[in-house]
Amino acid sequence: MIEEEVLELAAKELGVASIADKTRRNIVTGGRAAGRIAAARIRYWRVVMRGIRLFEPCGHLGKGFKSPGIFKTLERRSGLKAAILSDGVIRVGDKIAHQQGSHISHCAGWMNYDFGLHVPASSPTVKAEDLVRFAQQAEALGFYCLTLADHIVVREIFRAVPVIPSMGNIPAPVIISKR
Amino acid sequence: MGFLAGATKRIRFATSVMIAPYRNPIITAKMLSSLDVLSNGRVIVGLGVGWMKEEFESLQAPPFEDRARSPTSISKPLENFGQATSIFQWQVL
Repeated sequence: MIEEEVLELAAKELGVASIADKTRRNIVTGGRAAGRIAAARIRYWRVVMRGIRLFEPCGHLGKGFKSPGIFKTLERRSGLKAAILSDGVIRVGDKIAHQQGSHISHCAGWMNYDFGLHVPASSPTVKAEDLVRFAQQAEALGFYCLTLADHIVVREIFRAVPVIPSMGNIPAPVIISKR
Repeated sequence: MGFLAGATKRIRFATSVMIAPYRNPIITAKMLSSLDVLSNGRVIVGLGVGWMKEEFESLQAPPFEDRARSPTSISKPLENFGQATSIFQWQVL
């Protein structure tokens, strides 16, 4: 989805009447809605969506619009990617409501999963400050939970596991838990 | 878990998983409920029957071979967790 206000401003900056049919977005929102609802759950009357990330202009845009300025014009305001969480029909004029922080447990699809990280607390080299940084980074990145194992016996052999650079140089296998 | 809960504000913490046969259910319920209240309700309890025989022997827990046969190995601790305190609510998923 993309904001009506952005489309109007971009068209003005580019000196054209409209770019609404060139952006390859599915929904135009009014009231500066798309930016504000990023990462929140959204309800269009009957349809529930979840904001995933803000778009940047992509290569397809150039194919439908010859002006090179369109990339610069839509930089950092090229709409919101959202996952559709429930069946339904979105009609022109439907109201948008925010459901930030709420849980919609009955919806189907992969967005019904919460993502957590397993705390590598049993690693022989881990330090307290590493664990605190790991937990705070996970929280800042929006992970749902941290999981901790319950063992008093630690195996001597550790298998290589994926490393997530933004979490620091700590082995961090990602787990998925179904709500 | 308590150490990291004190260093964060929103993220939840799950036991993945807590081995039920190792633990005294009343003491565990008290620990979990205290942690749940102090962390503002961010504790998720995952329970399992265990898989590492060495740990059962080290802790003098009920026989490893019986861990899944006994109907109380999970259900009784769960029940006790729930009954031990009125502020600790639990749900079987």
